[in-house]
Amino acid sequence: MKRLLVSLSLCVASVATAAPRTPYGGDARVYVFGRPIEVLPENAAGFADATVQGLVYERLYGLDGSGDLVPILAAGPPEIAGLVVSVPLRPRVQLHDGRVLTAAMVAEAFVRHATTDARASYVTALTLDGAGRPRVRSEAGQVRFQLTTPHADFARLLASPHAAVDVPAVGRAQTIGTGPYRFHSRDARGVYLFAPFDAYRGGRPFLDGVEVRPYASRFGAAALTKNAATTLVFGIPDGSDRASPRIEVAGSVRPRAETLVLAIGPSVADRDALAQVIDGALNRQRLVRRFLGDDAQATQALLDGVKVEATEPKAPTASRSLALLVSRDGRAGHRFAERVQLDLLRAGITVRIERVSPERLEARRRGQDFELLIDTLAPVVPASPRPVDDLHALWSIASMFAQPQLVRAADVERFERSGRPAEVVAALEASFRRSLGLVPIARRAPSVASTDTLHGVTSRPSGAMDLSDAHR
Amino acid sequence: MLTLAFALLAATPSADLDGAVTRVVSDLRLADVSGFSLDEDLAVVVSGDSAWTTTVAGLIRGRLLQLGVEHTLPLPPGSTEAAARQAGAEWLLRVQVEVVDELEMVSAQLVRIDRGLWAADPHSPGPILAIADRTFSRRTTAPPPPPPPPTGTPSLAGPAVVLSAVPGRVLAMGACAPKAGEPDELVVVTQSFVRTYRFDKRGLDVVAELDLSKLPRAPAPAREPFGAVVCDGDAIGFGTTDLDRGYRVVRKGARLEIDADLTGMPVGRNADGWVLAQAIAGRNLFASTLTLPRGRGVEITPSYAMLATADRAFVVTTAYTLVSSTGKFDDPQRVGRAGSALAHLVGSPIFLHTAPELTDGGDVVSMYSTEYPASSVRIPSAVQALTIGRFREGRVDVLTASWRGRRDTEIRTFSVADPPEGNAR
Repeated sequence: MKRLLVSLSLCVASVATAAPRTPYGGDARVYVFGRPIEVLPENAAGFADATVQGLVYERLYGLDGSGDLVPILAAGPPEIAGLVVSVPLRPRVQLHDGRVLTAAMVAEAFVRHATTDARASYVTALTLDGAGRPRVRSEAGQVRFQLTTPHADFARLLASPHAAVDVPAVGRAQTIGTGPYRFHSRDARGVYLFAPFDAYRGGRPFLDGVEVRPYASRFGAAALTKNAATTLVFGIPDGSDRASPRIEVAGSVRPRAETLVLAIGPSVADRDALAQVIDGALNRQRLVRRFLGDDAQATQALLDGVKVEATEPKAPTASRSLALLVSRDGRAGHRFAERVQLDLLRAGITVRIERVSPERLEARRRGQDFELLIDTLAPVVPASPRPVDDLHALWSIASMFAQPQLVRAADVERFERSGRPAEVVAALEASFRRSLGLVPIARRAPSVASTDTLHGVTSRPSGAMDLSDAHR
Repeated sequence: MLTLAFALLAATPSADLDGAVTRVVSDLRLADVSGFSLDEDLAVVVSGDSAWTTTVAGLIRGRLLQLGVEHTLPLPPGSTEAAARQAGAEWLLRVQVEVVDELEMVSAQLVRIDRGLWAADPHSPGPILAIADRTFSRRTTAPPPPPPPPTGTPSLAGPAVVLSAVPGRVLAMGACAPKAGEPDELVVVTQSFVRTYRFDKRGLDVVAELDLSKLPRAPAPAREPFGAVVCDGDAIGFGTTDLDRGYRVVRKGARLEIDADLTGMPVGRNADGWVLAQAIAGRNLFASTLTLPRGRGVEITPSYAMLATADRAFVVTTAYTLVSSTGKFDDPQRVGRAGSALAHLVGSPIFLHTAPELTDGGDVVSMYSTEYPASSVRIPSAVQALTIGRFREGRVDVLTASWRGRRDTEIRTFSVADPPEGNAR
């Protein structure tokens, strides 16, 4: 079986010969391929965004290497009383501008996340007030969440990168956080600079700065992964030369793989029948072998471990012509879309490829404004043996399509009460594929590479990289 | 109900015989086994058809002695619980040496065989309270060299055995006697408390504690924190990079009470007062300015470690150079290279230091002395803090602290063979 990639080489590098004290100084340079960097927590679209946001913002909870909940900004475990989940706030946490974080600020952040066009799936687990705002209150140093239905693992949703706490800065558009780095600057090319936060309660990070820059050149990827000035590269295009060591995760809980899907828009007539035709027409093995590389596996399911009956190819009821939307700078590359086009043509579906910018693709996906779409689903939820993480991954996928309501209170209730949560998740997964018109094609590990000049980087179970202990 | 301390660990095929035996004894965590005392009578039965059985038996006894288990009773291979009980033992360590998949495996079980007078059936099998095993390759293992003959001069005698674990990250350790002439107590400074421990029959026993959580914090704590401990008669001076100043504490029953603030981190003390250093804000370094007794300032290079006695001082520079000087930091001399932990045995010319670089994640504690030959002991993990003291009658023990993430710190121990006489307290 192919190795799921993501991170060990860095961990290994850090335990080889080294000085007893960790050196201070130097910068990390992080490149993100193919898409602009999103710095607002609630809008994190994948591992790169979650990594960048994790520099600045912290969450109430995190997950440790075993997948267990650990408090970060919370002072202890959540208290659950019926539909109310209370989270005690860690006292005396300092914000980047010197103020002390309060429970009211945290509650306000969650309300603000909910009212934007966010991917924060926890929002739909909350009841709304008369103004349509989620009921999150602060009281006596606690943050209280009012749920629509009992969900014992609600706090695991608060461990998502989407649930990071940001606070409006006084006199600045950019929000601030409590994390190990603070925003320093952003230039017109979308390059961010982050500086160490000297008063970070866990201690000032070792690096003097982190620079995050988007890059669009497919051909530059190989050079970047060999360049000693580069330290982390996210989203290396498939088929690129990956001379640099891959990062692997040590520990039992791994980040979830990305799933490459072909999505059928709601405007397409007879969507279910077409999904069946496409499902049978795609030659996944060939697509994976020729275009995606060793780290990918063909799949017909959205989630690892969910069994899907293989479908027989079906002839379409009538030949049709559809637009296939693909990202101009997508990791899967140009040839991949053309191969999909050929497979569909053989099944009687004429497809014209429309290449758009990542931003445009994002907007059209969320607006459900497409006929066919090649997309990458990257839920920032760990791939653990716990069914609840599968449930939350589905929730995260629904939020990517701006339809978090697809996970209904009744689904959560059934998950909690049925005694067979894995079966509930499998049924929900099947209904998701139908509701969102998704045809899974392949599963592949998040693509992150590193040069060996950066040590102490670890991968969180969510897939985000933690740079707080990184050093040169 | 007795707690089952289960320490069955993954085997390490490449471990050598000596390392395997040391790990087995460490993994048993004898100091943490419910009801076990280091001074109880422990029967040791080493069985198996391996050619290494006799060697293992000798090594096991040596490692137990290292921990302070002095009353061991070797019994012939295959001896039963009843034989151990008959011989007067209270505990039985059953060790098996066998061949498993081309590897030799050492496994050990600690059994409580003294069920007490009130047990319904005093001869029933005793509970197994600790288990450990390790493998070693017979192809790559040469018989361990015989111990060096006694030289009459002090030397470090390893290997280092795990003694205990302390919650959180240990930042500094010291050996301070509560009263002149009494054995030293171990002083441990972590991010959340200062504790003194006494070596007793159970290993380390907490004597007194100070909670640090309410003390004023440093405005810019270090990501890789460190601290310092210095004895001051029956008081203790300490400081850490988490706190905005140092403190002097005195023992009050089970509490340590602050009786004075210090304007820096104490790195030495003489009759005239403290030697105080400052950490660079947010860094794992001492700043270049030092305050000597009577308020005299002195400038030295920024350093990773510092230790001052009445007549000598040692500094580890950021290039990992060990520099020796007078007690007033005059006349600096390059001594060699060292890591970031230093220790001194009071009343002796013995100084210890760690290695300037880690090898395969491991460290080395070395003895530096103007009077005795150098010697060293390998520690399998990075040593963050180090101390040497007369914690037990007639012995000089070295203790090392190695972080295990942020969760806890592993305390290892080994001794000084042929230690110098008495002390100068």
